[in-house]
Amino acid sequence: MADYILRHQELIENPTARVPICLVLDASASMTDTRGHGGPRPIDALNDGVRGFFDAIRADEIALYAADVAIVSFAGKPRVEFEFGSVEREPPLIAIHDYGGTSLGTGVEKGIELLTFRKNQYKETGVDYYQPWLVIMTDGEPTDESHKRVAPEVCRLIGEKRLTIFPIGVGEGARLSTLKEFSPRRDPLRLQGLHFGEFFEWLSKSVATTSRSTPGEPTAKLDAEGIKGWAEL
Amino acid sequence: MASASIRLAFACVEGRSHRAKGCEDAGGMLRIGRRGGIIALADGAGSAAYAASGAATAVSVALAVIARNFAEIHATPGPTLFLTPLVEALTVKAAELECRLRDLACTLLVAAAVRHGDTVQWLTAHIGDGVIAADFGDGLALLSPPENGEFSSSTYFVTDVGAADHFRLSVGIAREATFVVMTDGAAESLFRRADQTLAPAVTVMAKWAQDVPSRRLKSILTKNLIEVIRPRTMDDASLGLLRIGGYTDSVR
Repeated sequence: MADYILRHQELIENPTARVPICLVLDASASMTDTRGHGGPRPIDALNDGVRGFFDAIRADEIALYAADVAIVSFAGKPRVEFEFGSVEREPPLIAIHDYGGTSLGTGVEKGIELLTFRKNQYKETGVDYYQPWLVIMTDGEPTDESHKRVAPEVCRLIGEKRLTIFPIGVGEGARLSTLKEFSPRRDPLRLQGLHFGEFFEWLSKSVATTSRSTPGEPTAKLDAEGIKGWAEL
Repeated sequence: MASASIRLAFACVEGRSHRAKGCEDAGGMLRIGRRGGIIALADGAGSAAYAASGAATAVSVALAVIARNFAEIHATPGPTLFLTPLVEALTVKAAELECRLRDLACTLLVAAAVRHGDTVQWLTAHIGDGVIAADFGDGLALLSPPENGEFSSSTYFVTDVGAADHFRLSVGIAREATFVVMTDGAAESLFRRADQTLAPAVTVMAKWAQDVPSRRLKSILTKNLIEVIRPRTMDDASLGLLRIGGYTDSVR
């Protein structure tokens, strides 16, 4: 007698829709400066934060398969620390670059290049994806003019709703006005002290929320209250 | 009096991520005399404050409009006859709820068919995601795929300013007609996005519409949504079946 229950082999497995996130992180020499406070170096706190980010996403059953993360560090030149892929891999240990300078623009440009390439891969393989995220963290001001060349393209993508950006200044030396050139809709925020851990925990929760969203929900729905835990407001 | 063999059923279940706000899918069905039927499903937008009300209103109006104007819509298909009363009703509902029209945003999927002698006239209406599959006697095939924007979380809604541009209306005539209609929560397990193919399960359900009386179909669909489909998605999920077969001496 028929039981009228569908069998597992009669169903389809669609790949999880991805949340592509590129972290563009300052790894210039100033990130070793404890500013006389005797605490951890910013680069060490950043690495701890990135590890915490990976751990938090791995602990969420939905976000684990949705999060697609890449990491670019920059000083005088950009360096790809982590190609796009699952957070099940070990996070990189970001080291200070040998080359001096702070080329924010070329770092962001490399991040956009990785995101664009990844989106094309999704399209070729029929994988759905959410609006990409670009996280920029820097503790100083640029030492070249590359950001002036790159910022208009980033603004165009944001204006066309094809990119969400999180511009974060680290410490008092970070020039928020420069970060603002990349972010026409969202004001840059300054990290409270070295609260990288709190920021990356908030970011991981945002990823988890986005990976559960259904059509019609706003992309990158942010926990505004949670921002108070890591940003100077 | 001979009647067309009509099978009609739908079921909606709340998604695992919607336990707090309740199911925002809606479904409805209506017979058209003794010779036809209509199935309608709607999926309220995640960002819409009154998504469930929007979906329920859209289904209710869709059924009424098609029941009243089936012949006219079939003869001269176009979005106006359908969308205008739909948006008017949602505008009234928005005033009643003191909300914006977009707070009632939803997708909509409709299948309707009426037998006339040896042939079945059919029509489908679709805006947004979700899937409509059909078998007109020569095998089940995809009739109306989902329409999404670039991103996973974007689709089109009946309340959009440009809704008419994304409103897909199909009409035809066949010997018989079976439709399987699903919102995107169910389509997650029943439709492969990469190559736009239907799961074998959709053919299985179309066969149920041939073999099983309407009075049993709803419970079968509900059971499958709860036990098989819902564990595989966080979203609300809905299924609808409509079959117009040959003439029979009784309505089942």
